[in-house]
This record gives sequence, C-alpha cells and structure tokens, in this order.
Amino acid sequence: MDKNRKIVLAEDNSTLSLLLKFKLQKEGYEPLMAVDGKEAMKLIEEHEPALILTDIMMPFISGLEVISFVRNQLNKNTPIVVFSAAGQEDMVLKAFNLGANDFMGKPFSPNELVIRVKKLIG
Amino acid sequence: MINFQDFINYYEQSPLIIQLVWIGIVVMFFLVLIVISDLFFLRRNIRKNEAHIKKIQQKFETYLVDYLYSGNPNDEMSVEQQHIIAEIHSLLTTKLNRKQCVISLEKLKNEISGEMALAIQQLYFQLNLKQYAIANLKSRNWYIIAKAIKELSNFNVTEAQNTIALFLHHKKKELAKEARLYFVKLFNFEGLDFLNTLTTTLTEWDQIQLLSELQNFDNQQLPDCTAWLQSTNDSVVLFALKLSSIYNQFQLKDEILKLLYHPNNNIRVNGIIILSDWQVTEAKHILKEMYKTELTEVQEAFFELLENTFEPSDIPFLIENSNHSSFNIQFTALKLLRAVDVNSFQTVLQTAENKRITEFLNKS
Repeated sequence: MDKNRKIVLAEDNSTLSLLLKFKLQKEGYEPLMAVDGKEAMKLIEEHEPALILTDIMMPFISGLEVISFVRNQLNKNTPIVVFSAAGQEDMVLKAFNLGANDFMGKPFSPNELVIRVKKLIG
Repeated sequence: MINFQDFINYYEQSPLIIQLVWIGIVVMFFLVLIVISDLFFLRRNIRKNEAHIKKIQQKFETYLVDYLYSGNPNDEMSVEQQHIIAEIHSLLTTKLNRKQCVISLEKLKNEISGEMALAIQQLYFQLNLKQYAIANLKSRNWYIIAKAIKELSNFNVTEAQNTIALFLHHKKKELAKEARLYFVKLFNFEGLDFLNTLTTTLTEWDQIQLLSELQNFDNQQLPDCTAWLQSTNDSVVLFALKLSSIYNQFQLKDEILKLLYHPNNNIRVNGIIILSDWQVTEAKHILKEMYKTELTEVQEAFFELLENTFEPSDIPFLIENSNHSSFNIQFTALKLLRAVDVNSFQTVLQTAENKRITEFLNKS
C-alpha cells in the first residue's frame, strides 16, 4: 500500500482502537495498531507512517515519550495528533511543546477525527 | 534401607512427643497436598475465566463496531443491526457475559461523542440490559447497588430515579455518593435538590466530583443558592460557596457577608476569599471590627481581601500589624505599606523583628 496512507494509532482502549481502525480503513487508510507506547515506537520506526495518532496516558511508555522519540530521536516531522481525557490540559501543553501538531479531547467524534486526518495528510 | 515395619516399630517405641511430631508431619503433608491441589484447580479456573473473558470481550467489541457501522442513513435499524442484536442477545445468558457486554459498551461510550455515543446508548436499551441493573438495586450488598447506579447513570436511565432517590441519604457513604452523582448527571442543577435536606457531610471529594459533572452541561444556569448558604449543614454551605464562586453569583453577596459571622472558621475563610475576589469593600469594614478576636487563618484571609480592597485609611491598621506573629500577615502588611507610604514603610522596617523579611520584600 502507498506509504502516504499509513497511520500508526496508539490506544490502549481495545474497543476504541477497533472502532477507529474500522473507520480509518473505510476511509482508505492503513491503520497500524499499538496498545502502548513501546509498540507504537516500534511500528513508527519500521513503517515510517504518514501520521501518528496517540493517546497520552498509556501503559509502559506514554504518548509524550512517543512524541519525543519521533521528534528528537528519529528527527521526523510526521504529523502527530494526541488524544487526551478531560483534566489533562497540562499534558496537552507538554505534548505541543514536544512537537505535537494537534489534539482531540475525549470524548471525541470519530467523524471529526477523520476530517482532521484528511486535513493533515489528505 | 528402612522398611515400613521398621518404621512402625521405631514409631511405637518413640516417646509420646516424637509420636505427636510425626503425626503432625503427616497431617501437614496432607494439608499441603490439599492446598496445592486447590491452588492448582483455582489457578486453572482463573486462567479459564480470563481466557473466556478475553474471548467474549473480543466478540462483543466486534459486534459493537459492526453494529455502529451497519446503520441506515435514515436512522432506522438495518437488517444487519437486527441480526447483530439477536446474536448479542444469545450471549447474554450469564451474569459474566452481561457484565462484559456492559463493560464494552461503557469503554466506548466514555471515549466518543456524537451520533455513535447515542447509538451505543440505544443499543444498551435494545439489549434490555437496564432491567438487570434495575434488579440489582434491590441487592443486599451495597457495592452491587452502587455499581448498578453507576451503570444506570452512564446510560442515562431515568426510570430508576424513584428507587435511586431512596439512597441519596444512605448511611453508606459510597452508595449515597453514587446516588447523588446519578441525579446530577441526569438532571444537571435540578439534581442538586438533595442539598435541601442533606444531613450527612458532603466531603471535599464528593464536592469536586459533583462540580466536575456540573461543568459537562451546556446549560450553566445555576438556580438560587440562598437556601443552601443558609443550611445548618456546614458542608452544604461550603459547597454553595464553591458554586457561588465558580458561577459568579454576585447577587448572593449579602448572603455571603452574613456568613462572616458563621461559627465555622472554614466557612468564614471561604466566604472572605470569595468576597476578596469580588472586591467587596463592605466585608473589609465588618472584618476589621472582628479582627482582634479572630483566629490567625481568618486574619490571613482578611489580609488577602485587603490586598484587593486597600485604601489609604488602612495605613494605621497596616502599621499595627507589621510585626504580627504570622509571616503572611507581616509580609502583606509591609508590601501594601511600601506601595502607598514609603516613609512609614521605612520607619516600620527599621523596627521590624524579622529582619529577613526585607529579602522577601525585595524579591516580590
């Protein structure tokens, strides 16, 4: 599949992960699923996706570390969108400082997510 | 090699205490065997349960996602959706499966908004899961009732409100808390009516959770809090003060001024903080008269109020308190004095008992 359509999605909520995978596939993207930051980093390094969607709070390695890994270690400008729950505003600010491009507060609309993805990578 | 007969002879010839020790060893050995086999079967059951839970969760998640994406554009239920509901129904025969189904629905409902969240709620009703939660409200175990209330509030089931209302003042705090959150979540500010008759204490954590729920609503029109500010329950008064502050209920200024005479120090301090934010100068005059008899924490709160309502006529009062035993009061008094009357400030500083205060003043 064309590299431009690869999206790494790091989300530890299995139901949400499945829903977003289905949605992104319907829109013609190739979602690569990770349940934690460690798996996400591995997928990012291996597949060089066009976009990264990551939750902030995840087991082992958080979304913030994933952002730092992409910006500082891999030196990539891949667009990154973070998901955050209510009450995590300070984490969102840290994510932006580390290089995230956009954020979506939970609960969010999957339709809105797709609009933002299309805006970032077409 | 020792044979069994030799052992029996040895045992019979041993003193009583040795015999007892041997009996003890044999009993312990069999007990350990029983415990090990119990643990083995327990572990096996746990693993079996875990595998079943994982399998059933995956099934429910797949059904749920398929259901959400197989709807008709005209919002009517499609044939595929009806088929999925039938499939899920066939799995809901056990308590464990029903629990996992609800967990899957909740996991998704909490994370997404819009049409899909509504569709999940519809699915919950179509699977008739609410009947089990409503039945659990009659359980003898408080934690089962609490979980049922939480589930019913997550899925906005209003028909259970009369039953849940009975738990609003329950002696079990966790249960009462869930009942209150149910009413606030479903009825917004109208759900706070229980404050009119609350006799138990509303803890800080309870208050935080209620405020967090209230902020989720689009309609932020707070009803009149006067009755709550006049409550005999101090925790209700404190909660009403928080509401007044967050929702800028400036029209309650006079009620809050009355609270400056309240016997509870915490209420007086919180009242002073709100009046300070609103820059209510009448509060300053009232508190000045009571100042000398007040506790230090109230005096400190008063000085914070003074920072926002300060006038030149307060200079003698500041000079009087420039050597107060409380560092906060000393610091604020000198800081204000420095801002309005440098000469008096210099004079007072020379006689200040705490010479290090100059360092802090220079940094401020």
